Amino acid sequence: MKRLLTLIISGCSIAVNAQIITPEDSLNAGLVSSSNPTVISGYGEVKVEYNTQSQLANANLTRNILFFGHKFNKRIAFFSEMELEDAKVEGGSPSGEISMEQLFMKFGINNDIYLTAGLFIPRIGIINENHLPTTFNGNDRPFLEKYLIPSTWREIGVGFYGRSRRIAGLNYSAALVNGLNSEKFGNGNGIRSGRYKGSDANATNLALTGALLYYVRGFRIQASAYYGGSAGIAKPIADSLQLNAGAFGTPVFMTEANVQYQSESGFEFKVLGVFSSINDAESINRAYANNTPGKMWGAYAEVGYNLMKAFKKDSERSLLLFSRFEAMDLNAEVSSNSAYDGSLNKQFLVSGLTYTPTRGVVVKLDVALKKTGTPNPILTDVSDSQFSFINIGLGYSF
Amino acid sequence: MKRRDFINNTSKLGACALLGITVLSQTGCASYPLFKVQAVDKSLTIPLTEFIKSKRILVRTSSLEFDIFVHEFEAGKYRATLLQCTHHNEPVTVSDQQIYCPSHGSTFALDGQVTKAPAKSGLKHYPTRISEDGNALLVILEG
Repeated sequence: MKRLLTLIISGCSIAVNAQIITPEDSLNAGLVSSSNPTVISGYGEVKVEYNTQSQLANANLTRNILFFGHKFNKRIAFFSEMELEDAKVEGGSPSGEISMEQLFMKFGINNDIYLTAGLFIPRIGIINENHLPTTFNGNDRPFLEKYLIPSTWREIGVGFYGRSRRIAGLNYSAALVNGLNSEKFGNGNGIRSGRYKGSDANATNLALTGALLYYVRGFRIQASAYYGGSAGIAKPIADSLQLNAGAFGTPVFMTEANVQYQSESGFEFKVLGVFSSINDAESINRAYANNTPGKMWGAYAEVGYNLMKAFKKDSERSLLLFSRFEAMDLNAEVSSNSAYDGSLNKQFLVSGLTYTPTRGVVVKLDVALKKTGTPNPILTDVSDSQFSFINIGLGYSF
Repeated sequence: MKRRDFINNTSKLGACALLGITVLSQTGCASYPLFKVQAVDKSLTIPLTEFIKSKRILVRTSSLEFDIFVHEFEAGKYRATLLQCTHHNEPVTVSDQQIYCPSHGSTFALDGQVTKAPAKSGLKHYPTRISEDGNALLVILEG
């Protein structure tokens, strides 16, 4: 019996040890010996949403991501994230999706500069790079960073990342990636459906992105821009559709800036503004009749306070009370051959609590109010212009 | 977009970036001194005179993939922190008030403790001690 108990305890001990050393964090923290540099990790979130108008609730395993990484040597590493959205994928079903969210190699040039190559996420907006559910408030990612900045926006290409030796806190990045597919642009989704996401991308058209990121006095300040072609089709076809082909033909331009602040007293805020223009929207609409907007803009501001700070100064736990207001117009300018849809002029007010019992785990409760302009019945079958949801969910990352 | 518009927009972006960098460079947040040294007997030797100019220095050695932030946080007391994020193995950077990861937004206090996720564990520290002659700080790399 004693031997059995010893075996069980040893087994438990091995299991616990295995839990501690297998995450990607452990590899990256150098806790795993270099002879075993392959790791598995992950993150995910689940949400229950109650629509107060329809009085219907929906429960969904929003996403689960498996991370696989391998370190070849101290300068070369492999990263990948495989995502399953909505719990399952069935043939012919419109629900779930399996996709590679990232898959790239990283090449360290020196201690300040590195290159990435493969399917990666350029530095645009906040959520794009920092999308773990433990890093944002509310069960839904900021809507602006879904509809306007199409996070997570990953494409195939090469990225260059570095930090300034002269100015402490200044980082820079630039990337060359494949462009977008304007045929897939759509009413209400902006450029979102035009992403290739690494799947059979047309690399005839290209995009350049660049970002400056600066940390100073508790502030994180970032500005980025994107400029890329969206008609990577053969010139004769482009001519027949009256589109500009070529590397940067029928371009999409986007620029954003954001500021985040977190104080030691538990107060935090973030603001983000973004503007996007598609100067050839009229040509795209003539070719594909998809109601592509000429211009889009949006902004959001969020404030939060960690209530735990009021009671206990240093704790791994936190209870953050937050509120976020978002405003956007996804058809701020429409071409003469497209129609304005008031439902794409949206405002969101999201308020709630984010409880972190331990780092890597969050429990979220929020109320989301959505208000839009008058819907255009030609473009949408939605007739309401005000919605409210109560959301509760769980998130984790390890 | 016509070529002229493209050049126009690109020029504006470039001008904005240059202006931004110029403004940033005037904020007085110069980088910390970089001290390069080779490891001898698994330790790094840093002359204490290096801390006269700045209480915070970055130490680079070819045997490590990441720099070490050495901070004289109190008179005669030093802390050596490896600038490697515990989340995704990215290099972290020391600014005036914190250490941060530009890749995924984790932040750390200057003592290496996590102040913002996604990182869950603090930055790695190396033991330090003053050399026998009292003229240098030794950072002991693990064996």
